[in-house]
Amino acid sequence: MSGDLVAVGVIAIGLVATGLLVISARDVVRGILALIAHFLLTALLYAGLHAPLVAVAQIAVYAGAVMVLFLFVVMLMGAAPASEASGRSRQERWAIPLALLLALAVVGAILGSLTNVAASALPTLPEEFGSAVQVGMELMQRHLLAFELTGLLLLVAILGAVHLGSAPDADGADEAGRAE
Amino acid sequence: MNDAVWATMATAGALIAIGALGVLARRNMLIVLMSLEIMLNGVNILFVAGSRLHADPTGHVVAFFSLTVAAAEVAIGLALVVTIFHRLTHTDSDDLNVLHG
Repeated sequence: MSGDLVAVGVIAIGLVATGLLVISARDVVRGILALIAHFLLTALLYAGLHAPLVAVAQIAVYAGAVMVLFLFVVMLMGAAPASEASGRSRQERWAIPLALLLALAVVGAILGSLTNVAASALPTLPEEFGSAVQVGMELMQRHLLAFELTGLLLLVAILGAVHLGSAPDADGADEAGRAE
Repeated sequence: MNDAVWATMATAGALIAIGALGVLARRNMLIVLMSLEIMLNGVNILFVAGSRLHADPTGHVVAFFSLTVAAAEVAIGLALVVTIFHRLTHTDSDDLNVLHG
């Protein structure tokens, strides 16, 4: 029982550490590598929560496809270093207290919402909980409309990305000149 | 056992805050996008942990939808970053002030 807590604690420390590495990265490629480690640790967490299908999807979609996309964009931009002007800007000074406030509010809300389920032990899970069959049945029977709409969303996203990616000068050559 | 789910959910809250810190403080747009991913990841962990807490697979399904929306968001976001890079030759969000009132 407490072995679970230790495992979650170790993964949690890893998640927070890799997250901090990402947001403090000077080099974008280093941030991407930290984010891949972050997503792999998350998949480990999902496996511990009896969600094997979500864990596999996490590795394939996030740690795989999405991060390759990030690396590809860095490659397109010539791996330029994260050239932010040195020195703390006003926005950076405000960011830390605001983020701490958000952390307090979110964690407080989460733990507060759990007080009524805290005393009871976790429910025992059926054998097939989280398997591809069970989640697939849930997806296809109770959430079919949402599932179809996601397909539409992906189509729109593809079309939007293609439009943004092709012919950047066609609709705003003069704006480009002004921006520079 | 219950403590482990609690700890997971508290971690998810911390990750949401870390991502928000990245979005607020960083100006490189690729890093901002990655911080957004950390926030979305924290919410996903909450959904899956809630699924475990109530022995209800709906949380897994919502996690899948959120995964899909995040993939679409990344595709559009990166396309925008590439477009901005073509125009400015860098991606510092402080210099995107053409629409400034």
